[in-house]
Amino acid sequence: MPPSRGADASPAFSTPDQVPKMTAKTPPESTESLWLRRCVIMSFWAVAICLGLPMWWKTTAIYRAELPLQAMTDWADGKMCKPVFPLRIAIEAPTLPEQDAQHLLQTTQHALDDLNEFSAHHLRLMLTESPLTPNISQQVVTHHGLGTRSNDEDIALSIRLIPVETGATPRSQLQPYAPTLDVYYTHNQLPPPSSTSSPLATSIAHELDKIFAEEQALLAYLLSTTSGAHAAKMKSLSPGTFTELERQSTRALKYAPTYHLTFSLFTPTSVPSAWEIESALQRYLSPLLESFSAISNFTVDSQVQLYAGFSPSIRAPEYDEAMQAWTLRKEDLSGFINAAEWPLSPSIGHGPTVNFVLYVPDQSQSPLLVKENGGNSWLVPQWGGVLILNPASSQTPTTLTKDALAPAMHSFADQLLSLLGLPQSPASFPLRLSTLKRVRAASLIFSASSTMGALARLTRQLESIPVPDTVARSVDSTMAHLQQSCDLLRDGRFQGALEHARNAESEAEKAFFERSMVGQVYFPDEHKVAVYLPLLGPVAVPLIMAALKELKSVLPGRRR
Amino acid sequence: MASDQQKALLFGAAAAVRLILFTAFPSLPNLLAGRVEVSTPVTSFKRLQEGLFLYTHNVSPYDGGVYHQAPLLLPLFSLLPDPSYYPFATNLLYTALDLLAAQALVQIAESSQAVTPRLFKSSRKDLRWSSLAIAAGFLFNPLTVATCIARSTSAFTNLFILTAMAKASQGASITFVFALSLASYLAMHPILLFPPLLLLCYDVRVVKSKSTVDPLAFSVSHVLGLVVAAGGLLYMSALLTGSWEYLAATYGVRLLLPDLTPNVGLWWYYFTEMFDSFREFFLGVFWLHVASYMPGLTIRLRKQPLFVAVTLTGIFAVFTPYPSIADASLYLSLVTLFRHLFPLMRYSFLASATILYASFLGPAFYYLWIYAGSGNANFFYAITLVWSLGLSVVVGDSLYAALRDELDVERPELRGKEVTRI
Amino acid sequence: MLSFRSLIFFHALVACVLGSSDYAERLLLRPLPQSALLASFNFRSNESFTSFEQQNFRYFPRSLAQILQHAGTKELHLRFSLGRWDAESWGERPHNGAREGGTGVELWAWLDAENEQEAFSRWLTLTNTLSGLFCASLNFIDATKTIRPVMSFQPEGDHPNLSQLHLLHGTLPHEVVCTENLTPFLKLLPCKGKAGISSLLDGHKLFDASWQTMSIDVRPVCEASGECILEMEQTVDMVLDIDRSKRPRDNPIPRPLPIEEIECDTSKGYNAADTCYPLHGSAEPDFSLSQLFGRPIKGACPLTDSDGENANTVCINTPPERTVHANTTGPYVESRLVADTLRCYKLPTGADFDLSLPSQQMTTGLMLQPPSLFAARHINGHGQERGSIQTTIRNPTSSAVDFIYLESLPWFMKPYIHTLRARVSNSLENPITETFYKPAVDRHRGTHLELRMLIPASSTLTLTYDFEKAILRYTEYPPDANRGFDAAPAVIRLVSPGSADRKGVYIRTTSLLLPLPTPDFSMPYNVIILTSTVMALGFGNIFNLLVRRIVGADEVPGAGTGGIRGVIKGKVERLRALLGGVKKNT
Repeated sequence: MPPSRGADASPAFSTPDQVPKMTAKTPPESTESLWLRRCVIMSFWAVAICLGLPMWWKTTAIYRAELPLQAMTDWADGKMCKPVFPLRIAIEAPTLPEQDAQHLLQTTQHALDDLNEFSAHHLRLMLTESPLTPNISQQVVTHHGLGTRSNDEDIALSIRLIPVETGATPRSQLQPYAPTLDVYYTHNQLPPPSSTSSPLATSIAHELDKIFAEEQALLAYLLSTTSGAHAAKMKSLSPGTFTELERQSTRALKYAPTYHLTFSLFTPTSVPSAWEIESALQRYLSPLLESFSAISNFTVDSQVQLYAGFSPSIRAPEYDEAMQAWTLRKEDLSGFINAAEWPLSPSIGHGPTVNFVLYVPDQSQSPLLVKENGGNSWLVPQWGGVLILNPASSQTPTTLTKDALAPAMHSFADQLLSLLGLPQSPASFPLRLSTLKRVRAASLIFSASSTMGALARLTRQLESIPVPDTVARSVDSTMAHLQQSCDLLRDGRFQGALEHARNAESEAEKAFFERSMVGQVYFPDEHKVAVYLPLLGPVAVPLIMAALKELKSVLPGRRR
Repeated sequence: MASDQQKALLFGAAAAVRLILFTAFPSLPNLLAGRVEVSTPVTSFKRLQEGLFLYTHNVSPYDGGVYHQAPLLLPLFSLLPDPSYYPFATNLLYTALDLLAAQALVQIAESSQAVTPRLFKSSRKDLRWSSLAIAAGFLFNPLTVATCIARSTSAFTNLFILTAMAKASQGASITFVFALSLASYLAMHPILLFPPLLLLCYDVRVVKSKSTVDPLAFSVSHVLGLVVAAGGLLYMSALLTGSWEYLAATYGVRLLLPDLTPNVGLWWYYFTEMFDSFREFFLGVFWLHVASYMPGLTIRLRKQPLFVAVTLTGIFAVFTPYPSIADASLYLSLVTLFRHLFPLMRYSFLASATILYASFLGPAFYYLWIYAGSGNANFFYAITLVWSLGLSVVVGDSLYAALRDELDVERPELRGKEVTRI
Repeated sequence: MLSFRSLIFFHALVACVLGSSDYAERLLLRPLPQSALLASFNFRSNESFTSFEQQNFRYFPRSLAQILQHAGTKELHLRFSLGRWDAESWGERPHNGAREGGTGVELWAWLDAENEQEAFSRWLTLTNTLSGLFCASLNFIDATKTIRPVMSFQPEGDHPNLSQLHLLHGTLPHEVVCTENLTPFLKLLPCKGKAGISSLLDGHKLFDASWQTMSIDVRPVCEASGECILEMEQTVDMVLDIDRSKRPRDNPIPRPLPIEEIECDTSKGYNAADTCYPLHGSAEPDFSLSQLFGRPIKGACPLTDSDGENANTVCINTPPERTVHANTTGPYVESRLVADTLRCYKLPTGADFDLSLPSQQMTTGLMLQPPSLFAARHINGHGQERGSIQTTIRNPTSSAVDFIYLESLPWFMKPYIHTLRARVSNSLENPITETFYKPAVDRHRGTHLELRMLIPASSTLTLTYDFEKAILRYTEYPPDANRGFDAAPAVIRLVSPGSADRKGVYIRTTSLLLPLPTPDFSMPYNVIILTSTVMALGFGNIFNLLVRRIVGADEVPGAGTGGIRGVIKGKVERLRALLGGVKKNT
């Protein structure tokens, strides 16, 4: 029956030359079997394509969440945010009439702008009513109209103009524990409405410039050390200040939202075996940490370690007749810490650990001092501070009282301040704090941005690492926080800026150190070939050959 | 009449052999149950007992790495007395399983679908063994006996596959669908037998009912039947175990191969040595490879659906994740249905020699690796390669023979002539 | 009889070391048969809860305290152990085994957590940080090595909210305890081995002992008044072989004595000038602390009380007739307790202190308290495929013992719980009264089996069950795969008769070595290629049959008369096609 069927199906009839290397001797193949064969081949291909390809895709694809790479790089290059530091400075002139005050303000502002050559950091004067004013209505205005609450925290410094008759004027004085500058003047020093300058205005301007000199220097240094995009705005620093700032910054710890303070009492003998550390910390340290709470949080712990001598690697102390004391050489101080024996492991949890070591020398080697300067305490950059406590009495007490600890605590407090990078000037502590706030905010923004850039580069370069969604989420929130922080900086709301910058930094770290991104084994391509080919090669070859053959036989059939 | 006596005699003898082996060598069942060639992680009787123990002590047997078998086996065996103390009931059950399977085989043979399906009359249709001989070949096949003595649960699977074939070749749709769904429920891969068996069933129905049968309605109804039956079984299991976690522990294990206990198949050593990052991909490839034969064979051999089904069982015996000699025994005894193809086989000696070689050396090499320590894993691995090669040669060769047979019918002038493939 | 009372006293002593003052330490020496000596160090330091919360640490080590706070750990028990306690000849274990661990490292802790996931994540934190502190690979305690015992462990401390505490337990039987674990251990002590009895602890001697275990236990202790302290107890128990320890370190190879120094059994027929059957003399060997530990005690640790019970920091538990010399330049006080069977010394501060006992012929032998249970565990069967565990527990006492048996097995060791059989030698009823079983899940969870059993008086209980060994992926094997894997020791806790204090009575079996079947680690590519070839052959063969057309051999031009040549030509044809295809492919 095949012939008959072959006969009536002549259009698709497969003539000899369809199948290569076949002469007329070869009997024609029936249409049925021909299509049967094609169906078989198609069925195999269907399985391979409809099931095989999706399976291959699903099992070998590496998940890479979408990252805003361009934006990340822009942040790193500083294209997205030009940090500016507009400081609000309030002038309280209760006794001045409105227009005089305004005029004085303008003239002072002019003088300031002439002095300032650092565009990113400029002081904006503004007039506020002092709460002392007798006028009730104005009080109402100050409290409600201007929204004093929000203003108070954003005002960097308030100048109080106080008219005096005696004494050298104009003279000014900075309050040590309040961000206030008292300016004493006499009425004749007020700028006459016609003139554009007056001794009072210039003196205020110079005073302000002096006050904020170090802050400007710090910020300028910060900008100069980060990517070149900011160099444009950079204020020229004298090499002297530059090295000084460098020294400070190398000494200070990297900023962290939380610091762990560890106070350790070490003694090579068995005494003293106790100290009144709780009360001492309460008395001498808590206020300081309180005032820093706006910038960082602190955890405090303490320990007592007996039989813990200093490192044996350094030269033994020698007795100095002149000083009547045992002395250590200055170059040995770096090796004083006995890292092998003293249990100074960093505290668990995020944030760096600051160590404060109180060392009570052996009775036989007391008092112990530093040869060169006769001092007994020094600071270990980015690590902490050391103080050698030489007991007053000849006999070392078993317990160190709160008072005995007082000097140690004071020097520890100073060391903490410089470790936290608090600037030296100006005299007013709140001002220095707010300066630190601004500097930290800026540095956080820079570091978070550079982390973003690094992440972007990493994902660009390594095609084979997966990018989980968590990373994408962290990146997005980092961006958001950075943007907000930058905007807040522009508005001069530095507290908010710091908080956002902090979040941005932590999110950036989280994204960068995502565990599932690392540890991905890397397979070179030849390895993949060696794994795939043995099975897929021999299976694919017949499939492909058969498919090609059928196609060859089909195409001319179509043409005819 | 006489044949009935012979049949009774044959079955009696088979049952007697099994029961004698059970009782005369009480340690034999556990010995065989421990052999990796006989019982795999998904069919081992010892694991079944463990699952049973946990089940009867209200610990979920699937919350553990030991029991990977179908849930419905648990209530069945919990009815029987504890086999470690009163093994007789269990032995009887397994003997009955074999006899029923043989009965199904007899039915298949008697419905001469192997030689003369609807669309195709083999030119050698007279050359065939009697159904009793075929049944004997199954019942006294040492592989079958070993499976029975080891009480491996693949005996159930084999029974249901054979029943499905028998009912399909009798055109009894409902029992066919139900048996096949049971087989698939137990071992998952028999689902691939559905299309060829459906064709077979259809052909038989067409022949039986003189009126025409609408193929579409026929297939739809059967597919629906299969879905309903399988779904019902799965749902009952879920009710039984109280959760769906058994799916991961049974079919999940067959799919993902977490348990790499050696067996006669090709998968275990491959995935012991495979690099982790390629594991999922090759699991997929291996499964696709198994599945990919079904459509091609069904299309090419549309005229001989039973042969397609049989060839598929042979492919299962080689390329599934946890094959055992039970699968091989099923295939080998089904091949005997196609006595008329034997003259056309070219490598029958090679194949049988390879299989014998492997089945003798396999245990020896396994002993050298595991117990004597004088060989390593490669010994047993090499034997499994040989075994798989031998079986696949049989499969390929029988397939060639079947095609050649078709050719002879198509073009009688070529009969007995030298042929070649182009 | 005397020494029996002294033993009771010894336990009382250990108990009262855990008494009031802030720091106390005690060393108890006890000669054992076969010239062995049990040296049991015990250090205890307290910290008040308030200063613990404020992180002002005096006696409590800061590093450990911060770990505990960080991981929300309320009670901690950590053990490093080595060797086997020979209960047959050494009698009852020190501290009733409550301060002893299984071979390797054992850790269990009560963690404060809302739910199981949080508890487990904290557990991981704890193990990771502890591994850093003790230079041990505790961080390898993952989900597969962690269990949550239900009956075997009871908290020793006072916990107000026991309901939301989670007990987790992990073991590392493979861990080799070594000097680098001792150094951090000593650093936790206030006197750091510079003074007090801790100055005796030296790695070389400690890890040369026949059996040694180090333990750290942290627990809260609350007075009736309600104010609580956090108590940390560190113990080091070791059994020294006196002869071995006395060897000088410069030539540690033992040499035979000259014959005239050996005391011979003259009753032997062959006894002569040159032949001698050495008598195992009843003479107790001579030793001194500086011989055994390589150094004397460097005076008292000044933090201990200068008077009262805790001032007696070194005690030796011998019969009264044994002469003991105390060699020191400083002032010391010897006090004899419990009818002279226990001699305690108050150490001088700042001066070395040494005890020396001369060799002596004893009339009264050492009397040892027999333990209330003997336990041994073995693997039966051979081969790398399967086996069975057999545990033999013997009750020598004249009263029934109720105990809990805990097994924690790795996942690749698959027990068949339906083969679990427990038989008692002289009774027929099932000794198992309670069973807790959590089966293993491959690569996720280990087996956890707890049995409560009752063993009648003076009888032997045999527990057996079969198991099967899994074959792992070749990346899952350790570098020394053919050494085998370690199975953690079984822990036995006596319920009744229990102990007076809350520490309980524990016995641990030895760990087991489990050889697994190993693949050939050099094979991956070969296996990939070979298996793939077989599959490809099968596929290619069937595929070609399906898609190629069969025609008569004589109908193909060039095939000639066909026959073998035709076949070969066909093969060559296919081969060429194949090669062409491969070229295309690569």
